[in-house]
Amino acid sequence: MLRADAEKQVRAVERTCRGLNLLREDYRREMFAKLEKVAHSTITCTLSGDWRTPYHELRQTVLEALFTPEGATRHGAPRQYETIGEAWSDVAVLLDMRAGCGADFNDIICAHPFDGQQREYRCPRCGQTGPFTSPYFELTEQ
Amino acid sequence: MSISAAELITYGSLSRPQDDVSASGGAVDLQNRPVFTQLLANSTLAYVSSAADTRQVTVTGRDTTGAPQSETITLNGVTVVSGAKVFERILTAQVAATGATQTVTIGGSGVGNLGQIPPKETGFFCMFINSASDPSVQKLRYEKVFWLNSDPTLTLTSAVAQLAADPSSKIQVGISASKNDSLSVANRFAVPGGISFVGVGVNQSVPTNQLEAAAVIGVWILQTLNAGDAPLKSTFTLQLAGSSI
Repeated sequence: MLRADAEKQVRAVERTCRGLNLLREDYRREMFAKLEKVAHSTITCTLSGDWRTPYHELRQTVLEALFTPEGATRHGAPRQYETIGEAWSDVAVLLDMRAGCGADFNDIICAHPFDGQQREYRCPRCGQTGPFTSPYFELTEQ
Repeated sequence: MSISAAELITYGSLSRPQDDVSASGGAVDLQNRPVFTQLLANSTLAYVSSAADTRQVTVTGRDTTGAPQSETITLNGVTVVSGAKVFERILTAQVAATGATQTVTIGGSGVGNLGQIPPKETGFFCMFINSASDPSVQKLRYEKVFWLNSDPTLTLTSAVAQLAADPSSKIQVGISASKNDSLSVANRFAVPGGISFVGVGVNQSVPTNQLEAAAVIGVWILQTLNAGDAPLKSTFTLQLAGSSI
């Protein structure tokens, strides 16, 4: 495959930078670890013949445990979840809130060899850093 | 009615290796999902169905010493069946045959719903089973899942996939070059050709920016274990977002 054709295949999928995380990395790790313990400790319902086992106020409870200063009161309607996984995903996404950027990440991919190797990148627009892995193509010379 | 979040479903691929020599990837397996909640503490399991049901359920996992073990029980309809073996973690859960209407729920003692097997499906599973780090070299492993737009008529437009959360920073994801693909690799060390992998900071659009009704898009998952990495039991979260009428 020619390099130009490989690059065309890469760019056939739009990839954009999501921007910097709004929370510090060490804080997020601490919250994820806390989330696991809180999520399970608040589940009190038991299996029954009705498979739609509700997890009342799980999100409210988890958010209160994670983010409410001691002595404060949160307001708002709780959301019911049917599975722990659903609740986990919802809160996990909250912990990965990002500022937004939109820079074309394919420019970063195409600036490197298509050798399947892992690399670190820095977004030229927002400064976010992280790992990525170049695609592997068996290229031929033009 | 618009596409609901519940209609965007993650499924596994047909080749789901539990070793480093078997094939990985392939086409979608619409009977198995990579979604459940892992045990946080050693526990026996409890099994129940949503209706009359006498199918057998087999759960594989590890005992408290870390050794592999499995347990097979026979469902008793809506009456909870208690398992006898203590699990440190669950790896797979399979029913012997699909049910037309019944949903099987598996829970941990006092924990509740760990995972469910819906009608017409046969199980759920953990990814990267038996994936060990090496004392001296980095190990990269590739497995594959799919997103299905299960809405019968509507197209998910502006469809974007992302790795929404990766607490252990071990995962990158790469979207397949085409929808409904069946690309596989010889084993999970083999690099799937032409796939770019990114972490939590990058959105990837579904090819043609939309996912049609009943279409699937493959997502390769790259797990990186560095030399000498300690044992790890963690999760990651994929997200598919878009718009519909």
